[in-house]
Amino acid sequence: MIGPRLRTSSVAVILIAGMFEIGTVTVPGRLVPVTGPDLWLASLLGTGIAMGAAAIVGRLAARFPGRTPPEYFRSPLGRFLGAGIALFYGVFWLLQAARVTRGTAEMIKEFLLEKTPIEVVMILSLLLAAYLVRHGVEPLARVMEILVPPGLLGLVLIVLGALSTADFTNLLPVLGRGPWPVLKGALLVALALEGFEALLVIGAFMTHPREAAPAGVWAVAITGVFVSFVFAFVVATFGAEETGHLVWPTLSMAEAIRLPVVLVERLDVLFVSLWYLAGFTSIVLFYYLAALILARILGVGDQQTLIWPLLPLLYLMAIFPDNVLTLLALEETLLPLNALIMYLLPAGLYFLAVLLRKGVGSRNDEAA
Amino acid sequence: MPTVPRRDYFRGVNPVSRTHNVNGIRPGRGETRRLAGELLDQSERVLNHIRPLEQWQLERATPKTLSPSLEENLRRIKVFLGENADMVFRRFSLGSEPPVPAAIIFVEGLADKDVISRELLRAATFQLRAAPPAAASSPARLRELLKDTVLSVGEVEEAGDIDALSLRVFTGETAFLLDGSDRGLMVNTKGWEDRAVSEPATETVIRGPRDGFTETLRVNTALVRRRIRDPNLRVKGYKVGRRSKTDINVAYIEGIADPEVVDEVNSRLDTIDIDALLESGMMEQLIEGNWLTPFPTILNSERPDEVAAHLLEGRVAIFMDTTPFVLVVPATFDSFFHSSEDHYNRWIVASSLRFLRFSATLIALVAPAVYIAVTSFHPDIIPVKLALAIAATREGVPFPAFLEAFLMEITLELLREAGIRLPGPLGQTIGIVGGVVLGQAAVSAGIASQVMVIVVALTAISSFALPSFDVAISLRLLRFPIMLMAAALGMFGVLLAALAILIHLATLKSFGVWYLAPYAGYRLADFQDTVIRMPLLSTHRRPSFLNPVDADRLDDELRDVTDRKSPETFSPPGGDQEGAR
Repeated sequence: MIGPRLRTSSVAVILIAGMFEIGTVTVPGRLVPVTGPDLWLASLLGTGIAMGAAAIVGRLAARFPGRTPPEYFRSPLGRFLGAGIALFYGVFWLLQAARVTRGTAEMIKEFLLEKTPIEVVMILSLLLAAYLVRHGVEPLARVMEILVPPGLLGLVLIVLGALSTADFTNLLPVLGRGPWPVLKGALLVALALEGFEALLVIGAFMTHPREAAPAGVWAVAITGVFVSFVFAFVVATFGAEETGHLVWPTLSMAEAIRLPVVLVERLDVLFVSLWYLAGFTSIVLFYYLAALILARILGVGDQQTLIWPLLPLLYLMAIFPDNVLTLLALEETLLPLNALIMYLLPAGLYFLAVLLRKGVGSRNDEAA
Repeated sequence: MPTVPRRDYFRGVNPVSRTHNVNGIRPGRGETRRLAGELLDQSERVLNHIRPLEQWQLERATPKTLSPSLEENLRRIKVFLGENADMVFRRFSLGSEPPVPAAIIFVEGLADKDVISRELLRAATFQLRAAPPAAASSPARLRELLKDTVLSVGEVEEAGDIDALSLRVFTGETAFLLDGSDRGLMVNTKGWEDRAVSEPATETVIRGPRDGFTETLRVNTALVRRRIRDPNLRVKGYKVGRRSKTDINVAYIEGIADPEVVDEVNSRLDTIDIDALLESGMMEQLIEGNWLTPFPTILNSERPDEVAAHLLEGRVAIFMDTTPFVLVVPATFDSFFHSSEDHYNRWIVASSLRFLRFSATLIALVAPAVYIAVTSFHPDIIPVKLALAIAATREGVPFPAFLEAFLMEITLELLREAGIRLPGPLGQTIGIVGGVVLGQAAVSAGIASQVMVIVVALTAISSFALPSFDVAISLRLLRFPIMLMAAALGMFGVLLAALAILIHLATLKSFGVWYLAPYAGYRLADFQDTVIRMPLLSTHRRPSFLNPVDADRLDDELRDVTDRKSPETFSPPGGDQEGAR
């Protein structure tokens, strides 16, 4: 199969763009009650865990170059179980796309367009996402390659703008509550970094499939470092106590920034735009993954076939929660699903594949 | 043709048979002669009443080859080309014993009359007399003699059929026909009135050569070859257009240009099937990959130095006769922001100018939209004093910001269009009348605010700052949907519109090269000639997204120059500055 071809750096950038999303804006509010001021430490630790998982996901994808999950899950699992698990992934990604769509729209409504109905924002976002998904993974990679570096730079610059309001004594004491809250927080952060499991699919399009694992590890590491950096500033600005009461702590921090000399006085519009782009790239990635994997399971070609059928479904799923708090609660209840999708299943599949000697790198690699 | 019913050309009854029938007797000897004379008279009379053959019947009945008879050849040629006021058929005879009838055919205005009379007629009539009689014994030998020794013109070739002959006559050559020879000599006498090589009006530069392409293909290719004397510079010829038979040349440097791109260009040119191509813009539309995009995916230039630079980077140039605009493929979005001057200026200056141009793009695209979004959705994001100042100028304006901006932008577009249509000095007048008077009047009448006038002027100036007219015009177009989005959704609308444009750009390809290269792709070396133009000494490689066969630009020896310490380079040889002081 001569399909789209992605360089290793493109794959890493896609994963970064997928992991940065609206969830990372709300995480401090959810996790600070658990970790206290040590959120940044928990976040770094969680990144470490996720890096390990990304390595396993990458190795699993590299064992089956040029093949997507519906095709290679059956190799160690058998036809029906493989298809079932692939379907599970497809539904999970669909859910993720819907969740990010809703969360991003809620953020836009909260900070930019108070009076505009949220449906308008969601429909426009989904239509635009469908437009990009339709053209496949290469244009998708290009868009992300262009958005990610200025996005990260802008993030750092804006967060540095908070230096005037940040009070770093808020980060003290380090490990004041002992190591256990931090470890628990680390696990939660690791679960909140959904996106790197996309490597299972995207690894199939790599020019050098063996570099899938490094691409995943680097992507997680870069994302984790940036996220930890932002978290540290958020907690430093508001203090652990207050951060826990905010729905959008990261954005509230940007709202507090005032630049006296520049033409734009308030940075939160820029910051919200940045997070919208981050959210949009995640919507696109999850939408693409869901459409591709479901199309492959059904045997109806590529992602293009399922874009329009999935669009109303995605919209209905996104509109389902009553408000942003229900959305967050729903996200919380679905966390075990994240653990399964991102950690347990890839690990299990990888070890099964190694044990049964399926895929490249084992004796009967061509036959597999 | 076959659908036309075949008609009987001869009206009435066959005259010959009637003669027999009327007389009804077997004629005697003397009678026969008389009858024959009568018959001839009659037949001539009847023949005069024959309806002339239709053109298609004549053409069908006439072979398209040349015969040994000069008279027959001239008749055949006239059958196919008709009577034309601008065509000259000149008959004369060559040699003296016996004189050989000959003729030349050329088109007035396309062929150079001086060359014809001096090098062709005079040479043929006088010099042939000096030749030994044996050399001109047969028509074929005479033809050879003419071709090889007598005619003192650069190109002389033979043509065997009327199609080839007429095509060449219409490109300005002169056909030389000899009685007794079934091949004509085609003499290159091309020489039509042509615009001189002058400075192009579209891509003016401060530093750089002043020559620009003209409407003549050969002049254009020569201007490029003057700059690249590489034996690997290939110029391949095509003729496109069923009726126009326009000459098209594809130029590339073998060993640099990606062979796949060259093949792609060739195959796309082969697909063109149109009656006539009048400008390279028509060809551009026929060979571009995506005709649904507002963005140009093919570069064009009037400057030979720019085309040469593109060829040296590994691109392919498509020259077309009758137009000074040469197409260059593959194009990337970035390449439309380059001016040939960038490479002649020092790199810090050039990089700053590039940066300025990208800022201009942003302003031209979103400035009115941002104005709309800020005034009607988020007055809180700008400093309070500025917000108050803008609100104060908008005090008496009866329209919402969108309508205000829309009206002003439309007015601007009208002014620009009117300025182009009017002859030179008048166009400038329109600019001043429109820009200054109308703007001032609109503000004092309370129809638009001062800030709006500033924004409109800024967008206009910014869009003029772009080197490529094609990109500037698509940005002007896209400005309006973005304004609409801003009016509906504020800054979020602007963001969505910008994102949509980015996605669209990311899906585009130009002859196999991604339109957004090298911004997407992350090859550090390719960024050396983008927003920043790196110092010439550090640009060692050609852009890799063009997939050049030979990627190296600068030699390794030259590379050492950059490593050299500058004091060493610039100290005068042997001079001791300390001692001199």
